[in-house]
Amino acid sequence: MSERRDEDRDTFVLAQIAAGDMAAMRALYMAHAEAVRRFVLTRLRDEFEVADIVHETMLSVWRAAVGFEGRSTVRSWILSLARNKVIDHLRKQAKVSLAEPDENAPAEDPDAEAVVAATQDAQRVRACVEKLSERQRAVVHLAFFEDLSYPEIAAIENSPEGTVKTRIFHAKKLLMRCLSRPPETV
Amino acid sequence: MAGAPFSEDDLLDYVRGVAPPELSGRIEAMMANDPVFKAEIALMRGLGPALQDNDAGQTPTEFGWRRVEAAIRREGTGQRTAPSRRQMVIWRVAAVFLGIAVLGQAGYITSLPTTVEAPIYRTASGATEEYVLGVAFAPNATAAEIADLLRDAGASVIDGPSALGLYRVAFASQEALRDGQTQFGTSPLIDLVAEE
Repeated sequence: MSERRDEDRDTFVLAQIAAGDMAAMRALYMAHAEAVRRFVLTRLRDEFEVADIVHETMLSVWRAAVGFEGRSTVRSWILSLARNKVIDHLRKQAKVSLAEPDENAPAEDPDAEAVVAATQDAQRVRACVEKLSERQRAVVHLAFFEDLSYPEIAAIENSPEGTVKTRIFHAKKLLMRCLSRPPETV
Repeated sequence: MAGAPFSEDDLLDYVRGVAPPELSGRIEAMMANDPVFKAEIALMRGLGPALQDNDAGQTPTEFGWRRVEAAIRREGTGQRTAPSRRQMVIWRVAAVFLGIAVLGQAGYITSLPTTVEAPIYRTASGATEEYVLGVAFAPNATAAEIADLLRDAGASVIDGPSALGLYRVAFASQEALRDGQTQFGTSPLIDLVAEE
């Protein structure tokens, strides 16, 4: 219910932005810039580059607010703008290949007890997330931090829903394998 | 891993606490018998808090906002354009209003009795502001469909569209508003219903 109210508020704020209201733009920036920064950090490492992408994304929000059709939540829409900015940025730097495969999941079973224990250690979990591929990190972030649905993640990532689920599946396997190892080797 | 009997959707629903009891029961039964599956669920539960902890406390900086604000002021509003799809919806709704106006005028000229109980569009002077919803019509909704829907719901458009294509729709009472909200919420002709 609260999420619905937030979304209604965001939609009306976006309507104000579309009408050229700078105060509304500031409110939206303060509400969503941090989420954009966190999402961009899943794909870029340099804080200056991340800040530039957040800046470019928010400028796109201002320019494109008038075209928002309400087919997704405002948050998902903003994150999809951010994702496009990141891809453009990586392409310019020749750092991305669309054919680049995700790392495949290991075949053997992990040490289940070790994994259960390790999931209590946030630092270890984050260290293992850092070892995932950029695209796996992004979908894990959107699913487990942003709490988005698979269709929403698919729209942001511009990928089929099945591809998103496969990425999550492989990411979980890799994370379990990573968390099975003793902490010093993580 | 990722128990064959369960989809990724099932597992996500479960860790978010929104799975139906029957599904939760099956997942918990499998967790009791399969340590690897139990570990997978533990991982899914642990990811959110772990990512939440990551540089917690960061807030958007005033500097970041000032930079955006300066860039916006530099470029003005020249680059902002509306999509044609939404314009089409606006024109469709405008067509409804025009059609009503034309019919009304024709009725007056021919001295026919005006029997419309719930006009689809009210002028600002005759509008009630008390029971109002914000509504976005679906791009594929036709003018006739929109007119029928509004008439069925006993609703009148009193303002709009906003820049986002939202119309303000008024009802005669709180009860009528609630009924209309339910009707609009399930109608494929409506993309968004928002309370004011």
